[in-house]
Amino acid sequence: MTINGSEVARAHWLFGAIFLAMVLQELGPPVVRAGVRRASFAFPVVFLLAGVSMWGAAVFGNTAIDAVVHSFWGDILIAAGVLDLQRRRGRLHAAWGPLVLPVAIGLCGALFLAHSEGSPAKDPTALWHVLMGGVLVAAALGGVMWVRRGSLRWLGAYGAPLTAFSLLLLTFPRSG
Amino acid sequence: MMRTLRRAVAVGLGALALTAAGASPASAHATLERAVPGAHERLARPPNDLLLFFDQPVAPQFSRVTVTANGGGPNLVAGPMRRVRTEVLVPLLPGPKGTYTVRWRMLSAGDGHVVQGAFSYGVGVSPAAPAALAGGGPPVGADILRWMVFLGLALAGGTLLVRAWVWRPAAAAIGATEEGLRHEWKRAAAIALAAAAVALHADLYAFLTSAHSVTGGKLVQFADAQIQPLRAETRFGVAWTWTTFVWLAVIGLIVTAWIGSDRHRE
Repeated sequence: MTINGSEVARAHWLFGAIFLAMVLQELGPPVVRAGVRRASFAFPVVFLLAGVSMWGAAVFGNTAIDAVVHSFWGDILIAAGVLDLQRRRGRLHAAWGPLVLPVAIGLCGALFLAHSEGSPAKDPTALWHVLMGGVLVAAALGGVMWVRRGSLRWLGAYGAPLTAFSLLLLTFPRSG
Repeated sequence: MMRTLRRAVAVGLGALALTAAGASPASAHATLERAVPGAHERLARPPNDLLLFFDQPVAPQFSRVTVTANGGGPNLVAGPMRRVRTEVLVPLLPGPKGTYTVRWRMLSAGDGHVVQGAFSYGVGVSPAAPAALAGGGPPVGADILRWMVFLGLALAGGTLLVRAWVWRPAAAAIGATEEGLRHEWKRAAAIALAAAAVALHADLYAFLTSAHSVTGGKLVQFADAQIQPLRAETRFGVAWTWTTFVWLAVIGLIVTAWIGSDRHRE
């Protein structure tokens, strides 16, 4: 079984739709009502499932670097999902607990930038990789600041790039 | 619920063990049994084809054969190789009188090992021996990684089985508390989880190491090498695909059982 470019694009669109829904349900309530912090399990569970999917993508990846990078994404997302799930369930009390997801998002962004192949000026897939990496790194910085400061402005700096990332996934070029 | 999950983990590990056991008979590499023209054979005219007979299937699309006359010159292979079961047919161009050196490099379709060799035959003359093959020693990286997969399987499965059949009954017999048993289960699950994670990664890198031995070249170039045909068209690639998903399922079940044991405490 092999996967062609259209199926790769469809997988990105599906993940983009799910991720957008999760970002809205995770960050929407604190935006609407200041001071509200969500403890929903949905966000870390999506990270966990995304991590398993990334390992699936590693298996069906076209090149060796695809396999390695997707496996790294899988490891980061699974580890972050488990740790954040335990934090939300009250099993992890470490001071660094709330930073797990923003840091994982930043690492994933850095891997996107490293994974980018070809020239972004000529290849739409390479351009999308650079854009997705950039917004994830920006989201990570916003997320870390939101955890530290807790202000609505930093929540916006966290949520807006994550929403942009979802939209980039939803418009992922078919040729990829 | 917990018992069902633990049984599911045991079934998953059992499936992995069966996969590993099933793979072992196919793990011997393909070897060249004979060739036409054969080694040291003396012919009156240059042959139109070279036939290689292996003892198990090979994947010619990832393999290479060169035939040169009198210790050098152009490759006399006329076109792509064709495979019929375990036989490979190589069309040849006509050449001069002299010693012909055949160098072959085949991918075993079963275990994914690259095997290679050389022999010579003569046209109108008694053949000289082929020159020694250049290159390093046998690739051991993939074998070490495969052993790590087996060790991971043994450690993950062994820990859970010993815990279920030996440790837990013994602890219950001496009156261990429920809390103590749960703590002990978490320790066993952590060991099994770590072993499964090591095996999952070793499996990936064993496949990539095998793929690199097929494609050759520097590591930087290998990063962009197309591994998809190897994964989809060879048995070791298909086996890697399945074992990866079974490992993921086992890891998922262990994590779920772990979280479930927390919920039980609540």
